Amino acid sequence: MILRLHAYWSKQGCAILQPYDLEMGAGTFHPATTLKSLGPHPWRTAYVQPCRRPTDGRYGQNPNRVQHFYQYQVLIKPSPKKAQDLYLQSLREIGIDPLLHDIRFVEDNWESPTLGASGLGWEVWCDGQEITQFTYFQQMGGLECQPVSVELTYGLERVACVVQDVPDFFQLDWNGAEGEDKITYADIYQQNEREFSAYNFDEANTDHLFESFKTHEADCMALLNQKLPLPAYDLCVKASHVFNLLDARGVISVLERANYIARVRTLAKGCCEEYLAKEIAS
Amino acid sequence: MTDLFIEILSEEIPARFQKKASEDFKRLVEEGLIEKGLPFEDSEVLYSPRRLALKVTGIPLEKEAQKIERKGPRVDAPAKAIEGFLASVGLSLADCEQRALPKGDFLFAVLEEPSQKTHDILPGVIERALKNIPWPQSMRWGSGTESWVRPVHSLITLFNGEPLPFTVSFGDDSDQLTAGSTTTGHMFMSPSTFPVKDFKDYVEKLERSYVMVDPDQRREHILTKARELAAEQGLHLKEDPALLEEVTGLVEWPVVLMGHIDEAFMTLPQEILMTSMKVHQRYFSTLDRHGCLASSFIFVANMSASDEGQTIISGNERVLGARLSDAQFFWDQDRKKPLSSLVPDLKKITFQEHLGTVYDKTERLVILTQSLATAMGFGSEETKDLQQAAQLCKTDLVTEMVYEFPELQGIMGGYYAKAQGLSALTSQAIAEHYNPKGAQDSLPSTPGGSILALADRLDTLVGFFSIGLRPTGSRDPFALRRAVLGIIRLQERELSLTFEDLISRALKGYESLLSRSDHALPLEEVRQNLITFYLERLKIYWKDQGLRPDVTEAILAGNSATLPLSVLKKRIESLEAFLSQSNPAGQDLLAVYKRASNILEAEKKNPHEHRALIESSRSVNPDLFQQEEERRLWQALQRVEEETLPLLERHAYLDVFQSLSTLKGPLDAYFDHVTVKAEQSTLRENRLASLRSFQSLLKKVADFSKIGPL
Repeated sequence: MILRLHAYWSKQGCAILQPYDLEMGAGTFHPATTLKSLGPHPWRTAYVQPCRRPTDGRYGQNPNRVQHFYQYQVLIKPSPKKAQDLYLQSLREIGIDPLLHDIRFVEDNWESPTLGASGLGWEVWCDGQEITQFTYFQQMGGLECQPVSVELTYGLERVACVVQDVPDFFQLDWNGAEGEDKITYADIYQQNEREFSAYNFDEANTDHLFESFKTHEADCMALLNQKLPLPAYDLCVKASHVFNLLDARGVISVLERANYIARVRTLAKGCCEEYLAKEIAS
Repeated sequence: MTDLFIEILSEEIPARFQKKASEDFKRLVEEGLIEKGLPFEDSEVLYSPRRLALKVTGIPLEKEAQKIERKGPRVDAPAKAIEGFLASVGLSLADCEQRALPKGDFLFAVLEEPSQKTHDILPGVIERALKNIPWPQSMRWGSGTESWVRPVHSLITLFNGEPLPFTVSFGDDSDQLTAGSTTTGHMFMSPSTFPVKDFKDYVEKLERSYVMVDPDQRREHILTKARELAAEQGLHLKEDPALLEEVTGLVEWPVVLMGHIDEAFMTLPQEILMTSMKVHQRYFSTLDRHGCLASSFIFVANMSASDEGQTIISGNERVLGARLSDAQFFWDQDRKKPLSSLVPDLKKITFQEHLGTVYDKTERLVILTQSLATAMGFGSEETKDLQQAAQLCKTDLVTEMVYEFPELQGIMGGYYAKAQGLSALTSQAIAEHYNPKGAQDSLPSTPGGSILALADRLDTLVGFFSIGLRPTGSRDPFALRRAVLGIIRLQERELSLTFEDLISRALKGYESLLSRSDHALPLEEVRQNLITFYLERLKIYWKDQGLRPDVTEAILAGNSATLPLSVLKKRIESLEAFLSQSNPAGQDLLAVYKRASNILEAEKKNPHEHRALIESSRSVNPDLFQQEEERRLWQALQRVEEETLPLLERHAYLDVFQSLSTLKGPLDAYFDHVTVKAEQSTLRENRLASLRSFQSLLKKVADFSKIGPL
């Protein structure tokens, strides 16, 4: 399925990238989206991104909520007139027939407080389930996006469940083989879910995590001072993931959460501003 | 005379914006036409998630030539003034007329506005209207700089059967919209482009292309089909107008389908099932003939599929299954922990920055509910149960279920309390204490629920006012108006306690916190603010219930703090009935009241030295009576006073007013035959004193000065 999406979006002129090698909560955090959506230069990309959301772990017991999952991310800047049609065609490519399913664009306005980003768009529903977030970015890192990018974020497990017609993630067929050779999602990820849920909720060393957050924050600021937004952004992403882990451990109070989010946003804004300054100068 | 037809085709507009946007667009086009001097007969607008379609009829093909006169300065004005005028009208002095007016000779410019073809004026009007629709949220797209609610794809503008050729840009010249005469049908079922001739042709062709562009038609279709599907299974549709409206805005071609809830989930509390279906999935619930939630749900798709919707239905059933299995997980997990074990977690939730945590609030509620329960005659067992409810009523805020479904707060607390074996009084009080949720919502059904609901709102209201946080004309971020309205409704039904009494009890719990706080206002000021706020909202509430505002004012004046709401309301209703047009006694009473107060008012304004004496003298001295009429009035006053005392105690207000109105005879005689403003001062004072005692007798029940004309 991923191969077909790559083939399709490649034909639309997208640079097919590899996933970014850091832990992140969403495909949006990949610099190919966050940073590249800024500035005047056109850009088209598509990539798979493994995502980690520690608070969504369910020890592998829940049929479709997991702490590690895949998103397929497409970013096209400036947003093309036929954006919706392009997306719908991609669904046909992977075998979802809009004449058999009920595909709907239901208002949803996406926001990422940690990235200082927001956009308007929709959740794309397929038979009552959200399978993609379709967003026209208006702001990133507190800066106006000009031109506007369109971002498509497919929830790959959910999409795959529709295509394969299975009721839950763990039953997804991964390798298309039969009988003994068949490898399912459960074969690959069930234990992952179990162990990582235990890590996220029970075992992570919170003292070390609090320290990590501080060092990432400090290093990011230092790099921004040196006018190196790309490595600085790496550290911003690391800080964000550490925050997600602390949150899952339950050690961040309601008041403190707002504070941590603000701190990550400050880092993200710094990186975006520095990156944009360089883009404009070039 | 001809018609204008406009269609704006865009990407999906949020359901909640569609209706108002259609009205705004219609209004803006109409205003634009009027502003340009173009009359029209009528207009109609239709809309769907992707379209705004407007028809305006009876527009002339040409705007007629017009003569406009502009008056200039005097003929002998300074040269600069004349130059300025000539420049503003674009004429030379020779082109202007001179006219003799009473004030002198003035210059006049007569301008001829030539006729204009409507079809040249319209593009500007249409573009302005299109771009000025006031969207609550809008966005830019592509390389554009201007915004709209979502990207616009095409524009039809047909005038007199011809497309108006013009282009509209949203800031990106490479992506301009050319107005034309074509549109497309349903995104999947009929995506090809086709031309239209006029509005009627448009609506018909769209219908054949699987688009119901008339929202009323769509809504009707959905409602009818939904009811039919339910009836076919022997069920009723759970009617939900708000959901219906939203769902109408989510489809262009409504296909109503029914799905089933897995039996395993039917053991979950109804509210969980209904909330999950409505809020997350936009499904309609169905009820069986006993009014209980049935295991079928109804939803609307935007696709008429070749397999009759089987794929769509099973997809939806699966999604619902996933959501409900989450809910089942939460239901199971939450019930493993007794609510009391969650109480310490309430210390982590802030109630208000300067008023402490939710834990602190529940401590105050424990005390306040006891105070109220005692006043209402609750027994000691019941009071203890109620206090337990107070202590636990917020614990569901830290459960998984309420985290997932915040709208189920209170209700889940009730279920969890019941599940762990707490008393019915406790469980129900917890479940109901957030009621009434809105002005139309029902009140708690148990006395325990009412007290807890009252206590919670009092605590919030009194707390916020104590630190100076009051609603302003336009902002009420803490929903204090809703809180006081809840208090009023609860008080009206339940209590003989006055609002002042309720404030005092609620303030007790805040004593130690406020004494240590930098943000606390002086107590008297807080009380005053609360009472003012309360009376203001009370008057509005009663006005909304149909009580006359002037009668309400009359009864509340001076009495509001000391009497229970139910008594006050009864007085208002009685006085209103008494003063109704059909009752001559009421008119009589009002008439004599007015006559008496006019005289007394006039006296107040009298700079005569005796005014001081008038104010100070209190009682009538019968020895100073000179005329029969004076004595008769005095006797009548005493009789009525005696009569009405027991009537007031029994709250027999109509009788009170009736009795008061019998004073008309003696008073009329008094006015007709007695010179109140006698020359002699002691006589005069005494006579005024009679009138004053009449006035104070009335004042015991109502301040008639507030009664307005009928």
